[in-house]
Amino acid sequence: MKSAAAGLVLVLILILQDGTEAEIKRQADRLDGARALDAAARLVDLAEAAPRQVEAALAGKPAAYRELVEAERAVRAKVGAKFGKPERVTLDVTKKPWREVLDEIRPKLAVPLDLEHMNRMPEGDGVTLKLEEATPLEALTAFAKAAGLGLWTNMGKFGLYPGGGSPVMAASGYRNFLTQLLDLRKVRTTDFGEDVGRAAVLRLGFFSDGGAEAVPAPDAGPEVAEAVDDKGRALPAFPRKDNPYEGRDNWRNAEVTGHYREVRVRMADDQAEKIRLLRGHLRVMVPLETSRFGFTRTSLNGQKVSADGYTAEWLGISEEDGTTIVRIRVTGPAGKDLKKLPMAVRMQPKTGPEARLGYFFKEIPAGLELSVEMREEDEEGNLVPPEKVELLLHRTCVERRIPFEFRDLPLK
Amino acid sequence: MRLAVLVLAAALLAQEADPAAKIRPLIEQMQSDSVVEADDAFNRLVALGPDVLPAVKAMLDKVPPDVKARLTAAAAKIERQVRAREAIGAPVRVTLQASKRAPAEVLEELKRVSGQPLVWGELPSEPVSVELQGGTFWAALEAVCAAHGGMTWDVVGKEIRVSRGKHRKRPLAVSGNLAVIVERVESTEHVQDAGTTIPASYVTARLVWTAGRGPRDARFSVEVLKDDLGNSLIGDRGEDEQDEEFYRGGDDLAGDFQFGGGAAAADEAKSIAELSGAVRVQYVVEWKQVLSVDEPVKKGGTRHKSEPWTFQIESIAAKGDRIDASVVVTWSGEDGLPFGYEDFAVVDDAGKRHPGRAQDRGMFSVVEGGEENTEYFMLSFELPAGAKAAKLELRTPGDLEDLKIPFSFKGIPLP
Repeated sequence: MKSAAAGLVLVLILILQDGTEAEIKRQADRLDGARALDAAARLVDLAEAAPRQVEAALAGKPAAYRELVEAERAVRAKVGAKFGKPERVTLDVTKKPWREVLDEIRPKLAVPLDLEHMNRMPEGDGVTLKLEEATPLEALTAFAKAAGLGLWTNMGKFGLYPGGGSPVMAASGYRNFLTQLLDLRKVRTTDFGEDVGRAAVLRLGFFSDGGAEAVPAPDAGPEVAEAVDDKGRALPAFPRKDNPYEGRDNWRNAEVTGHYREVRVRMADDQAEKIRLLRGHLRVMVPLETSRFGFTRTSLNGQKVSADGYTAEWLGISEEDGTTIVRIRVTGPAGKDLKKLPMAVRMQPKTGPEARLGYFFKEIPAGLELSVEMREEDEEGNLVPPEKVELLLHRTCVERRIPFEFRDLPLK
Repeated sequence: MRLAVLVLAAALLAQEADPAAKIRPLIEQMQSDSVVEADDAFNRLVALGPDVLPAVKAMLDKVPPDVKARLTAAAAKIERQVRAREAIGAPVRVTLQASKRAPAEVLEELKRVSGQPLVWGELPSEPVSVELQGGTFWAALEAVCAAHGGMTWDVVGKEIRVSRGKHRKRPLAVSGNLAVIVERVESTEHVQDAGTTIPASYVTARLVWTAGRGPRDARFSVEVLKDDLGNSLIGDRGEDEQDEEFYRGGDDLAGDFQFGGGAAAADEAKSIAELSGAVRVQYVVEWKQVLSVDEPVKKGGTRHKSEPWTFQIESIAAKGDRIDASVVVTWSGEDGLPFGYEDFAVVDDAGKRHPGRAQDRGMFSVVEGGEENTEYFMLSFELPAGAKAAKLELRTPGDLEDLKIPFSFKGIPLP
C-alpha cells in the first residue's frame, strides 16, 4: 500500500516536472521576438524551482538569448528584497471555525487586516479549504471565497465582511502580488470604425500585501502575452481604452493595493465556450532611490523641505466630505517630468497604523500639486488628523512585471 | 385691368410687410368678450415675433387698459423670445465649395467661415471635394470628413480635433449649434462564477456644441432600443430616463452620457433596429445676481447675506495670476443649492468675467447639521497676467429655456 502511494507521488512529481520542463522549453524558444522580455522574466521565475532545467534549455541557444536572461537576473538581484518573496501557506481544513483558519493566514500578510465588520459574524458551518504552497494573498482570497465573505481593500488595508460581495472568478498569485479576475463580460461592441467586434472584457484587480515596495507604472495597462480559446485559436488582447474603472483623472495609487484594470480579448466568433489560457503581466515600478520629505508641524502652511534637487511645500490640511485632505506642492529640477516619477505619501495618524496613500495631482509649472486623502476616525467617529506626513519621491526605479495566468475561463 | 391687379397685389404685400397693419386685426380680436378668441389673438401676436415688437410697443398707449395689459404681456413674451434666441445663439452655418483640394486647405476654410476651434495634425495627402450650402457647422464637418473617407473628428476639451484615420460613420443628429453623437453601442453578458449570465446593453453618446454655446444642463433619454429580431433591450428600466451629471460652464465643447438597459441583443441579431430618444437641454435666458463683493482680495473673513444664503469668505488670496478663495455657504431648509463653482466669478479691472473652478477637482462637501446646511467651495480663478480682481460675483439662473433634440437611428450593425 505504502509503495503504491509512493509510486503515485512519484508519478505526480514526474507529471509536474514534465509540465515545468515543457514550459521552460517553450519560454526558451520565445526569447527572440516581441515577447522576449516576458520570456526571460518567466525563465528567471522558473529557475527558482528548476535551475538546472533552465540552464539545459538555454545551452544550445544563441548568446543573445542567455544575455537577456542574465540581464533579467541582474535586475532581479538589484531590487532583491524590495520585490518581495512571501511566505507560503499550506492548509487542509474541513469545517473548521473561520477565526481559526484566518489566524493561520493573518500573521503572514504584510499589511493590516481590518476585521471590524466581522464582529457579529457567526461561526456557521465552518470553513473547508485545501491550499498548497499558496501565497498569503492567494490564501486570503481562497479563504474569503470558502467562507462566503467579501474581501475589500482601502488605503493600504485589506478588510473582510460578511455577505459575499463580488465573487472572484479566479486568482493568480505571484510573490507578494495577487491578480484577481473579478468580472468577465462577453461584449458585442459597435464602435463605428474601430474594429472591436465580439470580445470578452475582463476586469482584473491587482493587489499587493505590502511585502513588495512597488507602485503601478504610470499609465500602464496590463499586457497580455497570450490568449487562446478552447478551439486552440490565438486571440488578440489589449488593455481597454475606455476603462470605466479608471475614470478618475490624475489619480495615482501609492501601491498596488486595489488597482483595477480591464483587458479586452477579441473573440474569433461566438463558437468558443472557454478562454483556455490568458497570460500576461502588469508593469510596476520598484524604487531604488527615494527622496523623503517629512512634515511634522502639520498645522503650519508654507513649510518647505528640499532634498536631492526636489522641493516639497506644505500647502495645507482640511476636512472635506468626511475625509482629511492634505495638499503638498512638489517641484523638481528643470526638465524633470514629475508625472513620470512614482510618489507616495505616508501618514501616521494619532491612532491606528501608518498608511501609504495615493493622491490626485494637477500639473503646475515645474511640478505637481498633490491632494492626498486620509480617512482615520476615532471611537466617536471624528476624523483623526495625521501626526506625521512624509512624501516619498522615488526618483530612480526599476520596472518589474507581475505575471498573471488564468485557465479555462467559461464564456457560456 | 392688369394695372389694377398689380396695384392691389402691391398694397397687399405692403400690408403683409407692415407690422402695424399685421397686428391691428389681432389687437381688435383681443378685445373680444370670448376668452378663447382673445387668447388666440394673444398667441398669434406672440408668434409674429420680434419683427412686430416696436409696433406692439407703439400701440400700448392707444388701446383700452385691459388690452394694454395683454399687449404688455405679449411684448414681454416676445422680448424673452429674443433673449432666449440670443442665449441659444443663431446656428453657425457654413457655405463652402472645394474641388480636389488638400484636406488642410478645406479645414482652414471651414475654420475661417465657422469661427470654430478646429485643430489638426498630420492629415492624409489625398484631396477632398465637397459642396456645402449653408448647412450647420457639425453637419459640414461631418460632410468634409465623410467625403474624404480618411479623416475623422472628435471633440477634446475645448478643441475640435480632426485626425487621420478611417472616417467613423457615427449616428449623428444635428440641431442648430448642438449635435448628438452615438459613440458606442454595446450588448453584453456578464458571465457569473456559477456559469449563469446577466445581460445588459449600453449606449454611449455625446452632446457637442459650438464654441460659447454650451447649455446649462442636459438630460439624455432613450425611449426605444431594440434589435432586429424585435427584442427591446431596455429591459426592466422601461422608459426610465438615464440622468447623468452634466458638465456645466467652462470652455469644454462636449458632455458625455451612458444609457444602460437590462437586456442584451439576441445572439442571432445582426443589428440594432432602432435607437430613439432625445436630449433635453436648458439655456440660461436671464441671470440673477446673488453676491457682489468689491475688492474681494481684501475681504477675507467677511460675511455676506443674500436670502436665503449666507456667504462667509473664509480666505481669499492672489497667487500670481490666480486667485484662490474658500467660501462657506450656509442656509436653512431642504432645498439644495442652485449654483456651482462656475457660477462664481472674479471680474477683473477691465470688466472681464473669469468663472471659478474647483481648486483641484470637482469636490465640495455638504454638512447637514440640524436645521442649517453648510457647503464649502474651494475656488480658483485664473486671471490674465497683470489683471486685478475688482469684484467677486455669484449669479444663478433666473430664467431657463428648454430645448429638445430628438434622435432616431436605425440599422446600427452589430458584430
